[in-house]
Amino acid sequence: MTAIGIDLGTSNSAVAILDADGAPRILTTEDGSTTLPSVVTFDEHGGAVVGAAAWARAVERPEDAVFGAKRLLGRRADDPEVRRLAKLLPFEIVPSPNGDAWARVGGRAVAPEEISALILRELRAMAERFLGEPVTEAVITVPAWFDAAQRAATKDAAAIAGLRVRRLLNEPTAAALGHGAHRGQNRRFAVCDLGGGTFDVAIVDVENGVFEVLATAGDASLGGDDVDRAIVEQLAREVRSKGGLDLGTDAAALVRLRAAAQRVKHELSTAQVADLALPRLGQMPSGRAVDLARTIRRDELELWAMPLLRRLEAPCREAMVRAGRAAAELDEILLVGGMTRMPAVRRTIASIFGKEPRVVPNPDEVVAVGAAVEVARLEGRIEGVLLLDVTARGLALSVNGSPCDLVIAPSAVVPTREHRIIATRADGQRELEFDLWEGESAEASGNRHLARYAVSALPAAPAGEVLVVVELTVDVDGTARVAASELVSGERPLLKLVGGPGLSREQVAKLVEARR
Amino acid sequence: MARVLRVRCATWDQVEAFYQRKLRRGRYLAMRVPFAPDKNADLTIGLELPNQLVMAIDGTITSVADTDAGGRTAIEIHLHGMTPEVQGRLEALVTDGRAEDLRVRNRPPTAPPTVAAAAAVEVAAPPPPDPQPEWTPPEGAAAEQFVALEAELRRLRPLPAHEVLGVAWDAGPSEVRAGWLSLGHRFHPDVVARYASAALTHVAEELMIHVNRAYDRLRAALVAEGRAAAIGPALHEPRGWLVGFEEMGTGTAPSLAAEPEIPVPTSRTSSVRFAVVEDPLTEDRLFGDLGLPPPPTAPSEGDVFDRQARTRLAAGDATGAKEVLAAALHVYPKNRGLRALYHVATAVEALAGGQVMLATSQLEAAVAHDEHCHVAVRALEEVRRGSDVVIVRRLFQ
Repeated sequence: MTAIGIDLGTSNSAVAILDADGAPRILTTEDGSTTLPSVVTFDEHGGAVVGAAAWARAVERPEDAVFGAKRLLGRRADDPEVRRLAKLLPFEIVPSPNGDAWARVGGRAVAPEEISALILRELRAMAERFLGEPVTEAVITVPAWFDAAQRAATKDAAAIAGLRVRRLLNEPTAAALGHGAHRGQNRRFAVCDLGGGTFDVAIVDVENGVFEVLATAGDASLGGDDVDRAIVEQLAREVRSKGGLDLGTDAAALVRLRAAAQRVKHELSTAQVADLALPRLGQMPSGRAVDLARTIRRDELELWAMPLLRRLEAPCREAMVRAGRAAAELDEILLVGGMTRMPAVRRTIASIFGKEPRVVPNPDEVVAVGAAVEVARLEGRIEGVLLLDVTARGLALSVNGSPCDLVIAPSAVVPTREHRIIATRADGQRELEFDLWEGESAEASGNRHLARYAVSALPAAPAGEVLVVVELTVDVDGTARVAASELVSGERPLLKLVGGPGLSREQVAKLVEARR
Repeated sequence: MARVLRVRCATWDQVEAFYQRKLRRGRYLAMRVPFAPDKNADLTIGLELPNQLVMAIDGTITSVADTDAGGRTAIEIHLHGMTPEVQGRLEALVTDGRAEDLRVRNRPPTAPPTVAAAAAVEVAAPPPPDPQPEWTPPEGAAAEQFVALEAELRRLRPLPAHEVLGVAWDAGPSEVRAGWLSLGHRFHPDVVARYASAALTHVAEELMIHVNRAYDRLRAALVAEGRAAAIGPALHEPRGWLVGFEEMGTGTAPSLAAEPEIPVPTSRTSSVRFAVVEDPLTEDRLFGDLGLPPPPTAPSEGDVFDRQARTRLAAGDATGAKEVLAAALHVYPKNRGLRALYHVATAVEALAGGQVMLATSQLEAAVAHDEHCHVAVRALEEVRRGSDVVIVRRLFQ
């Protein structure tokens, strides 16, 4: 029963444990890297490769690679956000039989849960290699704004990977924990997490060991990948204007260029200039090879990234307004995520908050360390710390297409439970169906459909005399569950999930078997 | 011969649930039975208790629904045998039974149970009627925790929200929050996560749900009253609606909070909300005529109104003076001088109407508010001496 802390990121993941003496230890991949790229490639036989090896394969076969599966977790294919992403992501997004967003790769549709599970299995294998014993439990971090469906999908992914989730931990809380906020005095943090694909800002209060995420804001499509893309676009433009070669259709060249762009970006975080040499990058129709060799200065990179850096400000301001905090009232600005190594990002954030941000020595891994601290806390090795969270969205109920009735308010403190009483509408009605929605709107179209349930085997009685109590419980992880009972007799009639998004229990069980 | 219907309760919790939750208005029991009884027939409930006792409770069937496809009939029974004495006896039994359970649970097993004993236990144990989640009973320290938390849950369940959090019904945001946090430190499922016991986690979660609901309700009430702002899980004293826009300044803006008092403006100029004409000569004349020492020169709050009112009183306009003073008291509700003067003005008005008794009591009230109000002291002396309104009015001229 060993538990690990996992940061399941959009573009990079990490795993950490706390040693017996309480020192955090970040576990490494076989080639010594502390982070695992959240990339999976599939071969024609259905086999999967994860991490850096997948990156290497993606160079040859970009159509078989899935990046950023976390963005699809618990989302529907017709979600506006997903449709916008579909244009950016290199793989095709297809609807599953029940309308979820799945990735089409290697000739078949794959659920994002399954892809995330492959990454989790790899992280689990990293931990097992280090610990030399089986790992069965984990604390997994999720963005604070993840709703119930996205959290449930994350739990499903963990189940497929053979991990029992001890807690889904909010990333800003994890960052503060990993930073050691539970040991220090009372502080008010702003956690700025600029990772590979997303930018999240959270205002976190730590007071006498009580952690509260007051507000979150973010930009779901702003991150290191966008900076890479900006470099690639710029270089491709230069190749076109100088060499007259359009790389736009050459997928292999673009992947090479992208890998080089990433390396240059990393070098420029410490150095002022970086060299880039890509011999035989492309081929002219005449057969002449085109090379790319160039020196890139830091100020050039910052110029190219400027439109992206400007987008950092709005979410920061929004988070402060939502939390009712002025910048001067924040004690510390925590920088999390690999992109915050870039000096221009630090400068921009310093100017937004009007104070120098705190430079965490390991911005890539601090969230995983926070998850490991949470493991230790749940095992009782750390006392007096209390993490308080609220529901990200409200939960509403409707019967037979009636207006949605908000049952659990948004930002209710979890765990929480509310109930509604539903009466039968026809004489002798033996079955009753109701829908569960996520959102605060009375209109069904303004909400997200979570599930449809059917209560059957009700006693025969005149219309309105059988009353069914539907209880909605949101647990500490922020996932929802439903229970129904008959009001008069107190008996629990048969409650069946008729349909809804996400994987069914049977699908999860089948995937667990398949991956064993 | 009345039918007897046996109701089996495997645990004391179920017994408690029977008389607390299953019964409507403490007397009516609705259930489905596998036979079709007649309306108004007598039916006795035999309540089988966990300690093998059976309690008979007499009742009469008050309503019978149609028999359903499964051959079961929904009926409602009026249990006239469920007297307060019977209920009290059940409650006592539940209390005793639980204490006994606790002793058994805490007792370490002395010897491995023999096969015969195990078989006997199996026979004795009735099937669990409720489809509760399966868990193993907690052991050792976890068992103690479990019993303690379960007792807390039972204690908190019937309480109103503020009593759950242990605060007064009109508690402010900071008290509500402090009460909630202290319970969170005790009951949060994370606190007992180390025992890795599903039962313990479950009861802690139920407790926390109950506590959180109480907190959410009090929080919503405070927010609706404008006494607090809820941000995330937190609850703050409101700081006005300018939060977050520090460059706009928060100094003189009124807060959104429903403060009972109008905030006292800091600068003199901004305090003049009424058209007040300042006339320094009036005051000199007033006090010069009376031969009284002038009021202290240090400007105190409401001086402008004080002067204005005295001017009006001197002009014989008691009603106008009263209006000015009423407006002033709205801004400076704690200014004793202004309040005394208000009573003087009322007294002058009363004297003009010939109401000597009212005038006297008003002047007495004025002196009670401010014994240094010379006008009031002098006027009271005059009125007691039997002077009429003209003489009193002359005090101001």
